[in-house]
Amino acid sequence: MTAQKPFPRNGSGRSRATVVIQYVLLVAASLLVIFPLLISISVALQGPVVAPNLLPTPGNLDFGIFAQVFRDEPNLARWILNSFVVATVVTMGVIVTSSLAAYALSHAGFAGQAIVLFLALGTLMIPFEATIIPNFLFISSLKLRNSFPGLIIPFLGSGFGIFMLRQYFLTIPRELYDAARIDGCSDIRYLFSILAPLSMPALATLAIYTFLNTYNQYYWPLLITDTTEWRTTQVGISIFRSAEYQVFNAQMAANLIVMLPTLALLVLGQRQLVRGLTAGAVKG
Amino acid sequence: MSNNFRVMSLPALAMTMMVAACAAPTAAPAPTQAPAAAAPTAAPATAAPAAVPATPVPAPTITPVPLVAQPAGSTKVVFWYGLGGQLGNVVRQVVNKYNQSQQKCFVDPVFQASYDDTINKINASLAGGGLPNVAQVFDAGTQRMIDTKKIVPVQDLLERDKLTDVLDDLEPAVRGYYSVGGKLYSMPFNSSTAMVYYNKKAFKDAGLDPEKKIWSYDDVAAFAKATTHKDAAGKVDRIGIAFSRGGWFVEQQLAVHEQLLVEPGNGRTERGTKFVWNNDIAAKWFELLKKTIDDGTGRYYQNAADPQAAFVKGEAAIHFDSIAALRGIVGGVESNKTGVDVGVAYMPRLPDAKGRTIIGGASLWLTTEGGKELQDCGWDFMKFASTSENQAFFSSNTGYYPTRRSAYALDDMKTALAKYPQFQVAIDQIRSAPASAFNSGGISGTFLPSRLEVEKAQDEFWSGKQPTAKAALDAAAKRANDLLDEYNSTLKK
Repeated sequence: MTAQKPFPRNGSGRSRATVVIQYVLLVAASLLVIFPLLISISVALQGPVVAPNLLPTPGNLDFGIFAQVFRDEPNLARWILNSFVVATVVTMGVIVTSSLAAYALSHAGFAGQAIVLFLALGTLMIPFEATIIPNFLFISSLKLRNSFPGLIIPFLGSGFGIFMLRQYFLTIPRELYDAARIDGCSDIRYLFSILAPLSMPALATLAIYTFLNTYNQYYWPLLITDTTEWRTTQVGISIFRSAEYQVFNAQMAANLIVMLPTLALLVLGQRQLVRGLTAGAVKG
Repeated sequence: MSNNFRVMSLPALAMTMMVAACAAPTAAPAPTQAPAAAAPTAAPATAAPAAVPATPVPAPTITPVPLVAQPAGSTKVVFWYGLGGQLGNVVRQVVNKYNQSQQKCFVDPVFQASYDDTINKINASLAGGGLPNVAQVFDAGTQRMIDTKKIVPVQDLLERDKLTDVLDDLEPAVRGYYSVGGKLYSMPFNSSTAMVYYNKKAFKDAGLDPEKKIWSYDDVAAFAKATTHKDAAGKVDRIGIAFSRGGWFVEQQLAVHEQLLVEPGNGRTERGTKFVWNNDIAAKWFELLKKTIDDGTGRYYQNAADPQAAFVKGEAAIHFDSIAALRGIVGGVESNKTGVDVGVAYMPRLPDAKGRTIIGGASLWLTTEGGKELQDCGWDFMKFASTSENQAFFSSNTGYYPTRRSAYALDDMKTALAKYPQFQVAIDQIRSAPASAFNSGGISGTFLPSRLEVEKAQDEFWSGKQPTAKAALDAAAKRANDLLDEYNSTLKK
């Protein structure tokens, strides 16, 4: 396409109308994205009504519901803590195991490397539902129900993490490795001092993905915990869902509360996440 | 990432719930037109068009009731239950009452997210250990619970304790459901039944009889047509019938028309081996509702919670629901000031139908987990939860009817009946025919998947993927029977 008209590249030359249109579109897009959040706030504030309106009445807002949720379910704080601890430890574990395995699979060059890689990839082909009962029996026989280890151990290895990091490690020039080795750098030191910092986007993406997935787990925590205090948030907050009759305010308030940690993480990690997803997309 | 939808991100989960929460307002055509519709039908004094935002009313407690602490030296009994929200609160109140009534046993109630998750957890715990001592299991789990061989039949205990008068005091329909081979297996706890909910106001406005309790299929079609209301612009602002998928309602149709769900004999005397719900009665029910979609007097909602919301808001005149939802619906109408006058009627029937509906709800099961001491405590709690006093308490605080006939003589129940006269219609309905294999309901080891297959058939037919109701039902029955065969074959070992 050949542009006939000169198109100003810098902001000062851009016409005011263009800027206004851009911002209108951006605001519209962000409203669309944030809509679920806004409507949960709206519903939470409307009190226990069956058919909430789109917007609450300004003079009639029930902010007490957030405190009430904590008062009526004293375990809520504990559930958030449980989820947070589990998600954090799983994330750290996955980062460590995945980067070690990915390093071996990308740099070590040992016999049977392809088989190991396929085995790791093979774990992605087995649905979680197929392994949940064996896992449950295993963890039960280790007497790890109602404990952090029981919630954490089955998720410490990740086929997806290994594959993703291996692919990323392969994009880092081999010369860097050779240079480091010539200077007497050990494998472990190369991985943690040189490769890992260079792979920050990939590591951050994996970390955020793992954290969110673990934080949002439902079925495993439901199976492996039998006492109210060991529940994680996603299982715990189902207590606010009414049976037979749908009233949403307490449910939405609880949702918003448990959503905050993940939302904070997303805000803090968004830059890394976006960079990670597009890193190398253009230049390879 | 795609291998497990449970693991979807929280924002996505929240979004799904949002859809559930707001689908009704968006699904209804031109929600802003609704006030125009509501206004002419509502009396001037009480006219509260939907555009005027609802005032939050101090409704009954929705959030959980805090539990009492365990006294030192007491025996701890683990009790799993699957009712959340307000109804779950009442369960916890019953538990608190029990724990305060004595010091020897302590019941620790653990909420298991839903009825479905409760039975899933029980299945997993059979192999892995950690069964509860007492579990609240829904109707469809009956045969599965018996097949676990880890339960104590309640009738044995009642006979041991010389409490057979309790058996005779049970509501016959309820006793029938939880009895297999003439033996009561679990202690009925919260019992409901299916009803038609209709807006009496809309009926009066349309010149229909607002007190009719027994409707024929022709009535349903005629009432839906008469109550469908259009605004000045010709847009439908009140649909006749709002409905979603509902395998449970199909079961009611078969029972009302004295048809079996499972052969032989609904699984009541020997193990059910074949689902036979793919018959003409089920097809006629599917077609009745399909016809209302086609002529614009009924609306099929994908989301199961939406028809209820539409009914409460006055956007639909007729809706099928459990009697357990009565208090919630009446409360919702009051707090939203939608001017709906809630009436309930029997499930519709063909003119020659002689049967009645099946019950729904859940019962308490005693497991063999732990020693005699734990079983004794568990049984003690089950007896407590099913006394007339506690059944009257439970009923008057929920929409379930009492499982004990003697509960009706108590003040709590009399007050509830005076406040919610609709209750009586449900009670009359489950007493309208003597207990039989048909209205005891079908049981089988895979009853829940079978119910889901019926719902899949409904969706396929109503959304036009299957040309006839019979074809949709036959395909679904084939799938359900394959699963049942597989289940039954594993038991023979």
